[in-house]
Amino acid sequence: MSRLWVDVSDLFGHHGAFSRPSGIQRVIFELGQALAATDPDEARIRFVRASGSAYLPVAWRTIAQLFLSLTDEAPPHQPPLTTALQLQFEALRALLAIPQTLRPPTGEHGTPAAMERGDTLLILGAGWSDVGQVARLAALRQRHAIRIALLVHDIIPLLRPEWSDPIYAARFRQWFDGMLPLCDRLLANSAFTAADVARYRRTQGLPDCDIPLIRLGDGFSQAGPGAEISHGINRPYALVVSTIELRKNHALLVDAWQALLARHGPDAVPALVFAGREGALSHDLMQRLHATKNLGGHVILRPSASDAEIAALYRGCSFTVFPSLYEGWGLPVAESLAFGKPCLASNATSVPEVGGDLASYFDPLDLGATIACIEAILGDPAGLAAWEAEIRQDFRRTPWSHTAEGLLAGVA
Amino acid sequence: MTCCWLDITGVRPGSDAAYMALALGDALQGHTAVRVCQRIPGLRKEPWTALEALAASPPPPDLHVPPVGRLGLAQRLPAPTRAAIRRFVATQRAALKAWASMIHPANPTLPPSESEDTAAPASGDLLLMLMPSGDAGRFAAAGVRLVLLSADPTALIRPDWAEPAAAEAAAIWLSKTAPHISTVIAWSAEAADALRAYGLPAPIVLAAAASIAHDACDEDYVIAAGEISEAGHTRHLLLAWRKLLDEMPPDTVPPLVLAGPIGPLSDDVIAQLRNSRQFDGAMRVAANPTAAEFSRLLAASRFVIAAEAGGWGRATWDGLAAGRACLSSFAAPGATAITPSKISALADGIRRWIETPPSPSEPMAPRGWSDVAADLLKVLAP
Repeated sequence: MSRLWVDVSDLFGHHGAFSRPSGIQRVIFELGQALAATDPDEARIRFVRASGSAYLPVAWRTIAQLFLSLTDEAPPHQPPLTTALQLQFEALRALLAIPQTLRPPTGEHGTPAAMERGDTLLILGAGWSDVGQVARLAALRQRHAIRIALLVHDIIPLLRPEWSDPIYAARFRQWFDGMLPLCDRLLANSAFTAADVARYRRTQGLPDCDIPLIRLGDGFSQAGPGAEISHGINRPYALVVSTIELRKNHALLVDAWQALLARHGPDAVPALVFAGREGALSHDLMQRLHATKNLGGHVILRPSASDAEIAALYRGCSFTVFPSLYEGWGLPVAESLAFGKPCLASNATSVPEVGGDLASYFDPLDLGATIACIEAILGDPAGLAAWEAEIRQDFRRTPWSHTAEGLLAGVA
Repeated sequence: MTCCWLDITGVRPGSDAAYMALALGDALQGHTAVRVCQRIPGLRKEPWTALEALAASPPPPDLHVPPVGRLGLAQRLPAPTRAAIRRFVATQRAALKAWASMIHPANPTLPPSESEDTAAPASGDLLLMLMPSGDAGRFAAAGVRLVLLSADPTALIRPDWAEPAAAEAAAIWLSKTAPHISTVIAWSAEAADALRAYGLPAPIVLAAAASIAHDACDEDYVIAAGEISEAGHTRHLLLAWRKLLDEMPPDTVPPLVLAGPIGPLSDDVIAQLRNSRQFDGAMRVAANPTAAEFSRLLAASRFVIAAEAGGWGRATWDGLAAGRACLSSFAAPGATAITPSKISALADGIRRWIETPPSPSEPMAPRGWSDVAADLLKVLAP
């Protein structure tokens, strides 16, 4: 019986570098959990992480514990001195942890995974951060005649190099160009990403191939009703869930909110909540927010919200906004609808595939149109309530178990 | 005889405001006595060379991309070790930021000059402030007339587009100096409207000048002239150009030359240009050009995009004076209006001009700075 080996190295790498998961780590966890549920005895599906030139098996419970540590409760709001001291302490702890990474990892079996002819190794994550991956896969493929499947989340560093550090972009290109001839199966999270990949293959002189779509699940399993907490915001607000970076286009909303506040006054405009850490190319925006004291308190930052807090923020918001300039999918749009909340979303790239007819769209390159779209909502509370009711009635959730089934069919 | 004290407090080196300070100061000397000064914290005389140094172009930023092989050693480390190092760097950076947020930033203007030559303007003298910066109210009590030239009112009308220290200095100016202001000079109707909202004396709108000789050049490019900054809408221009590169055959899109002083909130724009190797050659950066270089670049361009905010419309006036067609956010006769924040429409407008080049226009007859200085003194006459 052939096995499916799922590479979760990315979760371990991310855990070493960040305190909260990003979209890709969330997909790995949710999908991994759904895959594990289909095979509790780990007879057909096993999880592995890279270690040198080999893959080592990892028990699902180890992976689950690791992910949960990325999504636990955030510390309460505190004075700046306490924050600075805590961050400094955390930095020292991170420094002292570096030598430990040179020792053998714990929580995994010590012998390499026994891959056999006909088995499939599925790469779900950000493989470009694993520098030795291409060479390792090429050797494994030659030695054991395994099949390799890759879920492509996006190829933005190839198409928009201006948004990526050049070293990162070069590493991504090297990785992706190396992976393309190795992969027996390419999967994509959206038709838009599949088209991007197909176009890129043509530029590389590679033949067209079938790229099955894997519809990602909605919502996240760690924040069920039992985990409900207070979000601590005592006024209406619009919610943006994503890392704060230039590609995600938070600056457009800051521009829009400034115009709305000037036109309608502070009492008529909801707060704007950014739930996400600071990421690439966010320096200038953060400086603008600092200069305006977060638009006089109208922008509320939640940089390290736990899953439970994000769920509470979704439940409590009037609506969500997702102004991204470029996406491979657009998980926050699906999450918004899964929480029954109207979403004003960018009409760029893959985003309309996520929200379908239940989201409302605007051109993220047009400030005037964005403002008009938000004003239409603010001026029509009954319409907003009707929209919310429509979502609750018509939105059909995609459970992660369906995604797992689609994935298994896709790699078959 | 009335003396004009040209107050350069808060003027950024190499900025359009610095250029105006030098050009206008030079022209005023033909009409009246002019002294250069800044307030740190009293009124201190500065030598004329300080004004020249202020207007000189600082070195351009480094857009060089280091070779990827630079991290060869790092790439040989195990992935968990590299991740742990990344985590340490990220947390230490966050810690440093938290420490820094507890300390007020310093005001980034001219360093104190070596001489401590304090000055005492006489009653009836004019204190011409180029920027709304700091507290100058006490000079009004001595009979000095305070005039805001508003060479760059960004820190006042859009503090979020200014350096934090400049925004803070503008807030102090507004509370301490503004009540004593006798005259406000604006350089566009839009800037006048924005300044009027503060309850200042009704701003007098003057037109600035463009009077530099132009040399010819054979290259074919479009120029985005003006400050490279958030206020200069450079972020929007990059998105518009990316849209053009996506939608048009690449060989039909001329290079875009970004020419102007590097202004506040430009770190992420510069990083994008560096990351993409200036959009793989589709853009070129002429950062902090000298006045002559700026003028040459304008004259040789296919057409000019001037996405200016506040200020005195230097790029638009210079572009028109060079006989170039201008897409401009600064309202000037002969320029075609654009709204830079409407990026899709901006890209459409640029595309139309690329596909159907605008007819060359007669160069606008430039006004000399001497004319501007004469007009200024006329409206400030007691």
